[in-house]
This record gives sequence, C-alpha cells and structure tokens, in this order.
Amino acid sequence: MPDDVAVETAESKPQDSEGKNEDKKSVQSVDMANFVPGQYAAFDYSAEPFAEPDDEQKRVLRELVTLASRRDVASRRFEVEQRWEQRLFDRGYQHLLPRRGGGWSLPGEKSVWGPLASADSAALYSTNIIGRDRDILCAAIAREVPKVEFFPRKPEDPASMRAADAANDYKYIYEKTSGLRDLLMEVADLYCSDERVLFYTCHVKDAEAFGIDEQTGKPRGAEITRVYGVLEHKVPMQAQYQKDMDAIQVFTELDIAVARAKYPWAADKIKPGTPGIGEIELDMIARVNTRLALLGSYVTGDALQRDVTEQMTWFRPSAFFDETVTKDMRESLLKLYPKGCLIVYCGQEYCFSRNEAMDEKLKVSHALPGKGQNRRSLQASEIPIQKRLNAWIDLGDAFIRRTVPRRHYAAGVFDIEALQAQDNTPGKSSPFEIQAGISVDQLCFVEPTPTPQPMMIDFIQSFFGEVPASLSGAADSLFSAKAEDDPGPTPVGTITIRRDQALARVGLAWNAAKVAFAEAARHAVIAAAECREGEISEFIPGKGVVSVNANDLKGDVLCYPEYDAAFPEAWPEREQRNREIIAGSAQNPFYASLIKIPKNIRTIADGARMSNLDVPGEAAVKKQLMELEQLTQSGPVPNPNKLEIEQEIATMQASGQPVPPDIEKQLEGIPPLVSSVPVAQDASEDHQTEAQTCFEWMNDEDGQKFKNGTAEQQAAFQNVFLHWKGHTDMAGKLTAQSPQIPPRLNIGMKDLPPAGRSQAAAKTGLMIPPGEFDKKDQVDMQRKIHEKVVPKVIPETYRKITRG
Amino acid sequence: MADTPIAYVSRHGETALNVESALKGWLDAPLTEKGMGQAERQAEVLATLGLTKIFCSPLLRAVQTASFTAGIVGIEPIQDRGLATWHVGIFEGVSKEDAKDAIQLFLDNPSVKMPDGESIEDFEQRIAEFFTMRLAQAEKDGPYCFFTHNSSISALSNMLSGQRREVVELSDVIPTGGIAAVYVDGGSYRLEAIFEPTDQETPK
Repeated sequence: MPDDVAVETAESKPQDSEGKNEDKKSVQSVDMANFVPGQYAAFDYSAEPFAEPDDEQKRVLRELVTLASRRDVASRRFEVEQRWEQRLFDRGYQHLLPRRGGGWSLPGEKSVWGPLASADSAALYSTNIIGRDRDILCAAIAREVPKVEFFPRKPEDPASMRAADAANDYKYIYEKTSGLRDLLMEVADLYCSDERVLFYTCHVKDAEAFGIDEQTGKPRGAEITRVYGVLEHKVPMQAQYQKDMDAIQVFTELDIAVARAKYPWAADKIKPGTPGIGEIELDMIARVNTRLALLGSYVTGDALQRDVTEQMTWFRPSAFFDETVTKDMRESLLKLYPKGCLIVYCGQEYCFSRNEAMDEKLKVSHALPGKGQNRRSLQASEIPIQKRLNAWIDLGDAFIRRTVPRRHYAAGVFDIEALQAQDNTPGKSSPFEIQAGISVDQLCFVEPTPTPQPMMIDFIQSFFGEVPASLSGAADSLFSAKAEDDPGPTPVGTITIRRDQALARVGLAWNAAKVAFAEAARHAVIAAAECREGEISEFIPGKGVVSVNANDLKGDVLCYPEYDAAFPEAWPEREQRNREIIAGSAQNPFYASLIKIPKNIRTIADGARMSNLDVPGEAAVKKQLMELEQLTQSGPVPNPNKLEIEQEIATMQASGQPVPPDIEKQLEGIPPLVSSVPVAQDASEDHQTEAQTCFEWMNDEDGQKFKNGTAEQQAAFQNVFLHWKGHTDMAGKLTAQSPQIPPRLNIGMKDLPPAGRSQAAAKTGLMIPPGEFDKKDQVDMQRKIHEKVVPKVIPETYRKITRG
Repeated sequence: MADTPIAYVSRHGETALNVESALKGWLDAPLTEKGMGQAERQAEVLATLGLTKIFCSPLLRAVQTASFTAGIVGIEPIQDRGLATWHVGIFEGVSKEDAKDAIQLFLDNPSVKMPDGESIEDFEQRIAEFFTMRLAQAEKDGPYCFFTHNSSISALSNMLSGQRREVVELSDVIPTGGIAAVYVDGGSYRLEAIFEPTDQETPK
C-alpha cells in the first residue's frame, strides 16, 4: 500500500498573505500510514496495493470514466426511467407524471398540505397488483439458496484439486457470512423490477461486523456479495455478454461521514454531490427517490446536503485502447493495471485505483433471455395492466360515489326545504315544475341509477387476477392454490399440474439466479484465497464447525450450480413428501429401507414437522459422529488384552514357569490392534446404529479420501474400520444371545388326515371325532365322481328326426 | 337295414378357420388350397353316386365345395338356410379351446340364445325341419347330396339317434371334405361316414 496520506485541515493549509488558505493541487503520493482498512467503515479490501497514477494518468482515467458514464445516454436514460417507474409502481405510487428533466413526479405533490396530504387524495389511490405479484414471485424464487459445487479447472493439478475440495467446504462459510438467503430475496426483488442484476463479491474488512484479529490487532474481514439493480450500475447497453463490456460502473450514495471514514486520506476533499457528469445525474435522483420512498421527485434537502455518490468503475485492459488514449499513455496504464483497473471516486474526488480484473469481482445476471442489456423484467408487462386497472377501479368508484340517484318532487306539493333538511337521505332532493294533467304518481320521480358497463366488472376481475398472473408468472398455483376462477373443488392432480407449470415459468429466473450465485461463490473463493491467511473457521448450523485453510483455496477452480431439474419445493410440499414416506414405509420396501437409517429418520421427521420428537437411533448417531472426530485423529492402538497376556507370558517365562499352550493359543486369536475409542462389551451401546454410522463414513467421500490418502489418513481409516468391526461383532454376539423365535409352519386343515383335523379342531375347543371327517371326505368324493361320471339328464322333449 | 343311401351329407373343405381350430359360425371364410383339393376329391367320389339334387348351405365355404361337385355332375346346387351352421354370434373366430366352456353352457341351456347368434334349440329346430322334409323327398327322388357344416352334421347325427352323443361345434363327426351317407333305419335314419380325404390335393 502507498505510504503517505496528507490530510489537510484548515490549520495545516498554507496561507496566503491575507491569511486565507491556498488551494492545493492533487497530492502525488498518498500517506496511508494511519489507514487501517475497515477500522471505521467497511472497506472493499484487496491484496493488490493501491496504484499510484500520476496526474496525467489520473486525468486520462477521469476522461475514460466520463466517457463510460456518458455512453449510450439515450438508452441509459430510457432504462433508468423504466426501472424508476417500475420501482415506484411496486411501492404503490402509480399515478405518475413525467417530470421536467426526466423521470417521474406525482400530481398534487406541491399541495399546500404537504406531500403526505396529497397521498390521501382519492385521485392517487392505487390497487397495487404489482406489489402483490412481486411478493408472490419473490417467495417462489427465494425458497432456497442455490446449491453450488466446485470442481478443479485442471484435474491433473494437485493445487487445483486441493482448492476444489477446500472450496466445497468453504462455500458453507461464505453462505453464512454473506447472508445469501437475504441476498437471494434482494435478487428476486430486482429480477421483478429491474431484470438486470450486478453481483459484486469482494473481501470486506469491517471491524464492527467481524471484529478485530487478536494476533494482528487489525479488523477481520469476510467475503461479501452485494447486488445492484439497473439504477445502481451501468454497463454498455449493446453488449450481449459480460466479456464484451470494457467498463462496468457502480453507483452508491453514501453519507458524507461514512465516505470520509471509508477514504480518510481524501476526507477533506470529499464533498456531497455527484460525480459531476450530467448524463448520470438523473440516475442519482432516481436512486434517491426510490430509496427514500417519497412521492414523486420530492427529495429532502438534508439528503442532498449529506449524500455523496461513490462511483466505482472497472475497466478491462481493452478500455485503454480508446482513441483518446495515446500509445505511450496506454502502455503506462497497462503497466500499472495489467489485469484491468478499478477506480473509485467520491463525488468528484479521486479516492483510489488498483490493479483488478472485473471478471474476478463482478457478474452481470439477467432474469430472462434477450438481446442487449435492457431486457424486459419479470413484471414489466404488468405496468399497463396496473394502469388500466387503476383507471377502471377509479371509474367504478366514481359510479358508486356519484351516481346515487337524485329525487325530484313537485314544487308547491312537497315541502322541499323540509326534505332537504333531512340529512340521512341519500341523494339530493330537487323541485321541478309540474305540467297540467300530471297524475299524483308522477309528482315525484327518482332518476334511474346509471350502471357501469357490465363488461367493466368482468375486465376488472380478469385484470386483477388472471391477466397479470399470466403476464408475470405470479400465479396462485405457484403455491398449490386453487385458481380464483375455478368453480367448485379442483382435483389435487390439476393443482399439481398447474403448480408445476407455474414453477417451470419462474424457473427461468431461478436458473439465472443459480448461475449468478455459482459465479459469486467462485469470486468469493478467489477473494478468500487472496486476502485471508491461516484457518478460516465458522460454526455452521447443521454441519458443526467448518474449517478451511486459506492456502488450500489457492488453485484454479470452476463453480457450477448443483444440477437439480426440480424447482425448490415449498415447505408444504416437503412436508407432504416426508409424510408419504412415513405412511408408505409399511408397504413400500424402498421407503422402509430409508426409514431404517437413523440419519434419515431425523431428516424425514424434520421434514414432516416433527422436530420436537426424539427419533430412535439419533442419539447413537450423534455419539458415533463425535467418536469419528476422535477416531480420524489417530491410528489404531495396540490391543490391551494382547498386551496383558504377553506381559503374563513374559512374567512366566522370566520366573521359569512353563507357559500353558492354551494361553499361547489364546494369544494367537487376539487381534494385535484395536480402535483408539473402545467399544462397550455389553448392550449399553446401540451397536447396530453405531456400526451403520461408521459404515456410512467409510464408504462416503470423506472416508474414501482417508482410505486412499496419506499414511496418517490410512491409519485413521484403519482405526475407524476396527471400531466398526468392534460394533458389528458385538451386535452379532448380542443377537445370538437373545431368545430365538421358533420357525412357524402353516398347514391347511384340509391337508391333514381325519385324525389330524380332529386334533386341530380340539385345540379350538371343538370336539369332532376323526370318523366324522372321514365320513365327510367320503361324501365329497362320491359327489365329485357323480358329477364327472353321470351324464346330464337328456330332456324328455329332445328332438328326434323320424321318417315321416 | 337298407344298403343304399338315400342321401349324402358332405362337409365343406378346409378353411383358414379350420386350420386355426376356431369357431366359424356365419363368418364367410373361403376354402384354402387344401380345402379346394378336398372338395375336388369329394366331387370325384360324389360324381359316381348318381345324385339327383344338390343342396348347400348359403355360406361361402359350402357353396365353393358344392360347386366342384356341381361342375362334374352338372346339377345346380340349391342354397338353403336350413343347412347353415349354428350361428355362434360373438364367438365367431374364437378358438374352440377358449370357447369350450361357453359353448357347453349354451348346450346345457338349449333355450338360451347365444349373444348375436341363435340358441341350440332354434338351431336344432332349423336342422330338423330341413332334414325331415328333404330326407323324405330323398327317399322318393334321391339320392340327394347336402353340403353343410360340422355343427349341422353333429346336430343331425344327434337327432337321428335321439341322443346327444356329439357335442355340437366341439366334436368332428366327419373331417373337412368328408362324406357321410344317410340310410333308412326302421322308422328313422342312420348316418354313417363313408369317405374321408387323406392327402392334400391341389386342384387340377
């Protein structure tokens, strides 16, 4: 890191003859002696030092940043306004007017009653189906954090293999520290409104969040992924893929104090405001407006006074080939930033730059396929539906409020003033002049009540449920609900089919999220390998303590989402499935075999929401898992029984006594080694379950690694093997001792001779002598013979041809 | 016992359904090559017997068989429904083995009509009416020749003897292409097989 930062104060500034401070030019070197990343504010750390560009290089970089900010100004404005509108619609602000200068405002915001009062205007009421559908889509997409798997990029390279193994453990730590579940919800939200999401992963030093390292006294850090929507980042609009983007920019509004704490060497120079590039001013207004959740473009004065825009720009080396960069300058920049450049401004103040590759930090993710970078978001199609629905509902509301019929009474016949004085009569009473010859019943009439166009009600119903659901994919059936328009009961099979169809559609965004999370995980591994030292340990609920050596992560790895064609299931579906396994285990041998494994019983019980219940064998599994931790620390130990007998023999020999042959024979039968954790020689342990747990370990990935690993690992495997054998042998011995159930034999009554049948009947209390059974057999026999032998009786009236 | 037959009853030649041992009923299966050979051989035998009239069942196999004899003796066969086989309705084409129990059921219940077919009673009545009349005529004008089917011949044999010796449709009185002679026997008649084809002969 650079050594010096000179922090200017009013007192330290050189003064002119009138005692005023002179303006200093930019400082050539930055004194960082007192800067500790993460001490006062979270800092995006890298092992790469800060670059030290000279003034000319800074000027060129500034130009490149400005060019990147100004690029595609028309389409950028278009996408900003679209997302601005979408976010406001989601918030409930749906009666928007185009604002002078771009963007949106609400009618009535300048009302004398203030912005809140105008929010209560009936003209601004909205029936927010976009918000509703966004909740549905987010709940569907964010059911489960995508699972990822690491692979070595070079399988023949031991470092690559080691890195992949270590990364497959590290990913649990990353998931916990980065809060991936919340991140997924944010991603789902941005897919709905913005469509394009930028994932940014880096090692963040933060004393407040992660504490101070006792040994170094410096703030700890962790790999954190943040996501940015369209308003918060800018990319070349025409690029189809990230590799075609020469520059990516991220904009964040920071409080001035936070910005100064983050970049203290530039503290006095950082002023509230934007980078000063007119083309991206509107982006800032849109960001602030949507974040503050205020009506229209109303922005509090204090926000403007305190916000500074932090602009981070990543350049690929190819960006230095711009025509504005001379050849010499290009070469100097490439020397300074061979992988590419990250340059950070706060407002208009340069903070730092460093050599950094954007593909190791950033991932551009799209919810849907399309052309270019401005694509349709999940809910973009609902905007016109929402607008129409609001208009129709307003119309319906107007009908209800304003079309209470008026009554007309004959003047001179009715006391109109008295009628009007009645304050609980709906509608207004008005006089009318009667014509001669009008009958009494025509002295008053009530206007017919206008009714709205009947189709409008149908349209409202359709646009409320069916149409936006089909446009956005936010269908009731996503969560196995009946469709609103289903008359009567709907078969479960139909609900399941509809749910699967709805999930298949949302699967587009889900797959995009999976790929992006895999890439972010890979970036996290790169950052951890670069910035961490020693052991990385975290307690992960459900897995225990996970430890990884940061050195092991230094290798070339690939990361892919785990293949799973199915959409993550909701809890009711999981519960249903697990209950089916429990109910079906009595008849289904496959389910029965699953239930037999104690580890599975816990999972199945949890899945069926029976977490409070103890499951048989669970305690034994836990005990054995703890013993496995010990067993894998060492090899087997000499058998103490054998040692004892050898000792005895040695003593006998030493005293001249003959050694009985049976003792020597006994010695031969004793195995030389036993497991370091003894197995109980009685029924006080669940030998079968513990043996099963050892068996599973020996045959799974970890066990096989030990079996084929180093000499120490192989010894540890042997240790586990002997422990398994001990349990298996003990289980067998205890089974042999238990009373045997005699074999059962079924004999049918009719298969027994008469004497046998008589005995069997006697056991039930019926005393039937064998002779009776014999008689019955005889009768049955005669009947069967009779049926076979005696022909059917020829009917007397059987026809016969005779000579006639 | 008369020595001279008053009539001859000929079973049609082999059809594909005979080969498959299936119930034919009123399915109109034609003769096979072998069946034609049998019909030819049959015709050679019948041509020597001085036939005066030929009757045949209206079903194709019987008509075909009769045409061989008619061609030699020069007598046009008269088709008569009375010689048609038992109409077994839904069991047409079903193998005898598979339909055995069902056939026995209808035989044991003679008044029960076979689905889409006829009851054994109706069938026997039809046969009885035909042969009562025609045999009486044959006694005077004969010998006649009747080209018919196995079930008809079985039923005739039973009705001539007054006993159900033959199981109609399930037992063969004479083989395909065979000939039986009808003799006067006291107040009734007697049926005896007199010719069985032996080799498969192709038509000349």
